Amino acid sequence: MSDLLAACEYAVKKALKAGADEAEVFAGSGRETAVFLQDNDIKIGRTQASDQLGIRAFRKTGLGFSSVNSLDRKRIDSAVTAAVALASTAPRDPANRLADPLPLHAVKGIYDEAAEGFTTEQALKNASTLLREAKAVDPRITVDSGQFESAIGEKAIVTSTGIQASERRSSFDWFVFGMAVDGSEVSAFQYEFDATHQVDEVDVAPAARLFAEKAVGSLGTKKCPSFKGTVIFTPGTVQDLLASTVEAAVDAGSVQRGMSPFAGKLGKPVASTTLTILDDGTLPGGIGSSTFDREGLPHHNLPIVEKGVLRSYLYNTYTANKDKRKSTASADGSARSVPAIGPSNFIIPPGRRPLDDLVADVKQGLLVTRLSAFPEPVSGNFSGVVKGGAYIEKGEIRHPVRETMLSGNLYEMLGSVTALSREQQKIANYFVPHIVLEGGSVTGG
Amino acid sequence: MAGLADRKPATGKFAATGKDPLSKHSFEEKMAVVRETDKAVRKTKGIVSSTALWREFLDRKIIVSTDGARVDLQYCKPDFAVIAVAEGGGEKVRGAEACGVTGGWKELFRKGDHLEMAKAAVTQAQALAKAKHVKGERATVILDPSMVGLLSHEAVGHTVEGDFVLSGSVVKGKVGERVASDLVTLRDSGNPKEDPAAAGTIFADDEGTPCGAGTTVIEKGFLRSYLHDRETALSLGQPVTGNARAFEHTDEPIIRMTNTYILPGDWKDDEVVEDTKDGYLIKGAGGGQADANGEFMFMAQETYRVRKGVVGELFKSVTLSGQTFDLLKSVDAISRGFKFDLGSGFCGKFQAARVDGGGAFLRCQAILGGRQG
Repeated sequence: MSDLLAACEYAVKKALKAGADEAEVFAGSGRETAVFLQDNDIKIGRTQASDQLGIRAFRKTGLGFSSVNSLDRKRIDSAVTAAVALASTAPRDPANRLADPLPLHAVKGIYDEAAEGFTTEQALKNASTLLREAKAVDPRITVDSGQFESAIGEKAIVTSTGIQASERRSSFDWFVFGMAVDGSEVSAFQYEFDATHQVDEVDVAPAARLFAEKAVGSLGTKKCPSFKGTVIFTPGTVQDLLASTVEAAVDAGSVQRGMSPFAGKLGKPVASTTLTILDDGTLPGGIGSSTFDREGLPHHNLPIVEKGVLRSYLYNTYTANKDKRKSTASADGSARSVPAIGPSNFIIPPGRRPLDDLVADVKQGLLVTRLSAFPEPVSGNFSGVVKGGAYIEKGEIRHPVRETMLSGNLYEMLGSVTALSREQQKIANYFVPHIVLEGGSVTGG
Repeated sequence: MAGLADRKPATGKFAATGKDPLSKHSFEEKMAVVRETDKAVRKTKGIVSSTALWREFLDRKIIVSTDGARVDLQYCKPDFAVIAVAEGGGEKVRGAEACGVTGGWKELFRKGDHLEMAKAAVTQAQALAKAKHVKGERATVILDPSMVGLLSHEAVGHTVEGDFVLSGSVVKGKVGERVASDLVTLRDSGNPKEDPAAAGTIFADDEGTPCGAGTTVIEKGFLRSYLHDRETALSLGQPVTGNARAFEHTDEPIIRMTNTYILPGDWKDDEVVEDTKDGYLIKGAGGGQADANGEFMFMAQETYRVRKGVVGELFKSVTLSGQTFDLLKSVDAISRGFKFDLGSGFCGKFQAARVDGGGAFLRCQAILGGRQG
C-alpha cells in the first residue's frame, strides 16, 4: 500500500471513530517543475512538492468537509475532527450518501515512467523552445507570458463503503500568451496551450506557431458591417465558448437547481442533427482520462448528445442520488474541495468537409478565432467582442476585424449548426472541429 | 535592466479583521444567513432557482526579506452573493446581488442585510425576465460606480501593469501623455482613504513593500505611473508601487491591482441622467476582459434607455465595448456619489486575488453589443 492510501485509510478509520456514519478521504501527492516566460524572456523556474488530503464526513445525512495540505497524522486528526463537527451541524439531506465500489479498469497512457527522469534542464529547454518558435514566426510577436510545466503525481481514495484505489499520472503542459506589435498598432491578446502525459509526445512548437499566427493575423484589422448571418467558430472558440456552455447545461446540479435549459430534455433534441458530443474519460492517453473519478468510480465513454438528441447529464453521486439513478462518474475536483461535476475528455466528432470548402459556402459571415465574452449559462445569451476574427464575403476571407461584437444565444445556435469541419484539433482534453453556425448577430464598430 | 529596485521595506504587524470579527460568529449563524436568503428567494412567485453563497478568507502572511522587510499581515476578506433565476419569454434570466469587503460582519452588510440583498436580486431577475434585447450601436452611456470599478480595473488597470507594459501594452512609453479627459483621475491604492474596507485592501504587498498612499495612475487626464513590483520598477525607472501579490505561499508574487478607482467629480448623481438627451444607464458589473490594445468587453447586469433625461425601458444581456482610452477621452461628466462596488469574487491573472474597484456615475461613449434585426 502506498503512503497516500495508508493516510486515506487512517483518516477514514479516525472519522468513523469520531462519530461519522460514513467517510470518504481523497488525497493527492505530487511534485512539479515549472518554468515561466515573461516579457520575451525566461522569468523564473519553480519546483515544488505538495500533499493534499480532503475528508468528507457524513453524520445523520449531514455533510462536513475539511482538507489539509499535509499527510502528518496530527494535522489529519485535526481535519477529521473539523469535518465530523461540521457534519453534525450541517443540514440533513438524504442524498448525502457515498457510492458503493465498482470494478475499475486501468486507463492506459496517463503515466509515463520516463517522466520520473525529466529534468529541470529539459523543462527550461522546452520553455525556451516555446519562446523561440513563437518569435520565429514573425519579428512583431511579443510573448507576454508563458509556461512549461512537468508534473508527476498520485491520487488515492478510500471510503467507508469499500472503495480503495490509487493511480499515478505524469503530465506536461504548456501555454503561451501575448500579442503582435507593429509600430503603434498592438494586436489583441492571443494564447495557445496544450498538454500530454508522455515524454516523447512533448512538442511545444505547434502551439507556439499557432499562437504567433493568430496574433499576427489579428493585426491590420478593419471594421466590418453589421449583419445577422453565418459564424464559423474555430476549435479554440468551440472549446472556450461552446463547450463551457454545454458543460454547464448538462451539469446535473444545474439541472436540479432549475438553472439549465436542458432540464426535462433527456431524449429530446437540443442541437442540430449534425452535432454529437461525447465525454470519454477512458480515452488512452487523454488529458482528461483517469481510471476513477473524484469519488472512486470508473469513467465511461458517455454520449451526451447524439445527432442532436440529449442522451445524458453529468452526475456525481450526490446529484445521482437525488435523481435516483447512477453516477456517470463525473465527480471532479481536487482534495481541497467537495466533489464538483465536470467533463473528462470533451469530444465532438469531426465532419467530412475541409474548412476551406465551408468558408467557400459563406455569403456573408465571420470566422471567430477568439471571442471575449461571458455567456450567461442559464439563458445562453452572450454578447462579446471578437478579439480574433475575419470578415467573410462571397466565400472568401476578406480581412481581420476590429471593434466588432458578436451576440446571440448559444442554445439557439446549437440548433443552427449546419456543418463541422473535417479538421479536428486536440486542445488539452478537448477534441473539437470548426463549427459553422447560423444566427450570429454581428455589430460592426 | 535586471534586478530589484530599492524601496523602504515594510515592518510591523497589521490586521484587518473588522469591527465585528467573523471569528465571533458561529458557523450556525452564517449557515442561517445562507438558508434564510435561499428561502426568501425561493418563496417569491416566478423564481425558479436560488443560490446563496457565504465565503470567507482568513489570511495570515509573514514576509521576511534580506533587505529588511519583516511584516506580519492578517486579513479577513468575506463575500456574500445571492442569485435568483426567473423565467420569462421562454428564457431563464439571472438577477444577482453581491458584496465583498476587507473586514467583519458590519463591513460586509453595511449596505443592507442578507434579506435586502435577496429582495434586490429577486426584483432584478423579475424585471429582466420581461426585458428585451438592445439593438447594438455606438451610444452615450452612463456607468454606475460598479461599472466604473470594472472599467478602472479591467480596461485601464491591466494595461498599466508593469509586466504588460514591458511586453508592449498600448500605454508603453506614454507616461506624461494625455490618455483621458480632464475629468479623469484614476488611482490604485491598497489603503484607500475613501474606504479602508474595500476588498482589495492590503497594508504591504507580498514583496514586503508598504502600500502607503497608493499610486495615481492618471491625473486629470494625463498618464502618470504604471503599477510595479520591484523588478519592473527598476526596468521602467519608476518608484516601486507595492503591487506584487501572491495568493498563496505556493504562488510567486506577480503584479496585481489592489483597489482601483476613478475619483468622484462635481455633478450631482441625478444631474448626469437629467442632462442626457439620448443614451443608456448601465448598472451592475458582470464579467469583464480587456486587451493589450486597450479594447475591452464588459457584461452589464441592467441597461436602461435614457431619453430626454428620464430613465426608461430595461434591456437584458448587454455587453459594453470600445477602446479604453477613446472612452476615457470621451468622459464629459462624473458625479459626486463615490463607492467601491467590485469586491465580490476574484481577479484571475494566473492566480486568484481579491481586488476592488469603484467610482461615481460617469458619462462617456461606448459600443453596446446587442442584436441585429
